[in-house]
Amino acid sequence: MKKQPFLYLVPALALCLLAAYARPAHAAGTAPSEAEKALTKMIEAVKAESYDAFLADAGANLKKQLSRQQFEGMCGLYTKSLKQGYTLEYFGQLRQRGMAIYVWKVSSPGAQEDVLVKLAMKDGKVDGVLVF
Amino acid sequence: MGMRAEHTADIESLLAHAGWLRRFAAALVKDRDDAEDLAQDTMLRVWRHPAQDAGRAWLARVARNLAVDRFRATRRREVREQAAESAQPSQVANPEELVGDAQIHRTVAEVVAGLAEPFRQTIVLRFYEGRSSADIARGLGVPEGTVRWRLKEGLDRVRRELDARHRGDRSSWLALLTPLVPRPLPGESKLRPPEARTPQGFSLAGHVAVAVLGALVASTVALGIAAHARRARSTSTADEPARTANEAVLGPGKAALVRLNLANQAAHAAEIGAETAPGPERLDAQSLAEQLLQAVQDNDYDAFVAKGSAFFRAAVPTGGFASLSAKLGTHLAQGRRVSPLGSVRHTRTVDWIFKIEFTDGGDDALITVAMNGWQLAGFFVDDPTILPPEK
Repeated sequence: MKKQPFLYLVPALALCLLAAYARPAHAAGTAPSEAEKALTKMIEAVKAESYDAFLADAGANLKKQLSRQQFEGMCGLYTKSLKQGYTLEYFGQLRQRGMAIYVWKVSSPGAQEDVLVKLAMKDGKVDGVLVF
Repeated sequence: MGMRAEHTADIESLLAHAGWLRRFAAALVKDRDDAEDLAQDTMLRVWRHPAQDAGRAWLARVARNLAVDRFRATRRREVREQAAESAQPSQVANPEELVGDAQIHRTVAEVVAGLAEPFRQTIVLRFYEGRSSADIARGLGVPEGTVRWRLKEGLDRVRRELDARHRGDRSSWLALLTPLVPRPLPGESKLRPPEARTPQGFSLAGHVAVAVLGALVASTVALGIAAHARRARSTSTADEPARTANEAVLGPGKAALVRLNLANQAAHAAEIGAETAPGPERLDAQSLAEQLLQAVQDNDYDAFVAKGSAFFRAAVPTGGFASLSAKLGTHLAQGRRVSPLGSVRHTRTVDWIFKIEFTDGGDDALITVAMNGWQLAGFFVDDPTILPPEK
């Protein structure tokens, strides 16, 4: 009789293990809506090849440093494939230099390769972006 | 048979004139290396397009025409460069500067990695390791002219492949090639890359490395990096703990990512497809990441390269690794937590991305373990370079 509680523990433990394995290995949580919204707008801007739209949510630093020529270079690489659709997978958040850096994978059926995007947010603005 | 005999005769004839042709070329152009190139080009042109009488008069005519072509090309390039410089606002670095010394799109690196030998080796040594043609020639035991021809042919092949990949839209990839052209040092002519250049930082790891993985949008990515790089040039970075290892390894002015290798050229799409499936591969990649970090922490070069492909092993310089280890090892030794974030599909590899949180409170880092099938094809460390310069 005293051993009965352990009988319940076995399936409970099994359930716990199952739950643990069922979780994605890179459980990244959810991207902050503010950051994801900004990223989506930037991707749409690349699709539309709109420099101004790309910088709509950008901070002063990014605005100062991104030239139209540079933006066009980026469009040359990604616009065509992005127009065929894309999916975002949030990878997680990094803490670097006191700022929150959000990381996504962007996949497109029109591209042979995925790209990794890092977005630095500061005071609600996009202060840096890295695509690789 | 006839063609073979004809070409053999042509070559013999050309070689007989080689000495004279070099002197003639030297008279046409002042620079000794230019003269050597001109003589080589002339020989090649005449051999490919033999005339009935390929005597000295014909050689001289071809050489003169080529010299004129070169002069015109040089002038056009000068004009383009001047126009490009004047178009850049003074506060904003030009694209070449923005991408540091060597950030090229991953695609470019893959194309280079896919080149047949001896072109790949020559291009890697020249542009990614920064070795001079003379140095390469000595190392490989071939004439310097041969090295120059391999470089030219290799770059032509890269251009053709990039054209093919970008459906002939050269503008879409042209900017990315910029880092393949060594930047002139202050006072050096832009038109003639210095033959003798001391590799900075990581050599392949600092050049290709950054470049390859850099796979950046030559524009956007360059932003933070550029700002960072400019600041790094003007200030001492040695004592700032916030600037973590990879930056220090790359040296002041270098960029964000440390890539120790190109993709292994033997990669196959099917293998890569298999790699993207969740399962033991992820565990292997994580295990590998842990082992690599441990090797960095222990400054154990052999352990670091042990799991890599042959190309990986060849591409990781011991000095660069030691530098990486010196900078990152202490940080790692304080304790770290490595978390898998996911995988990213590339043409020849699958990159497994990990986040490192350091117990000592340092900034998080992103590392990439690039796998080609079951082989380790690359290792990258990413640091906070997208951030703006500190005010």
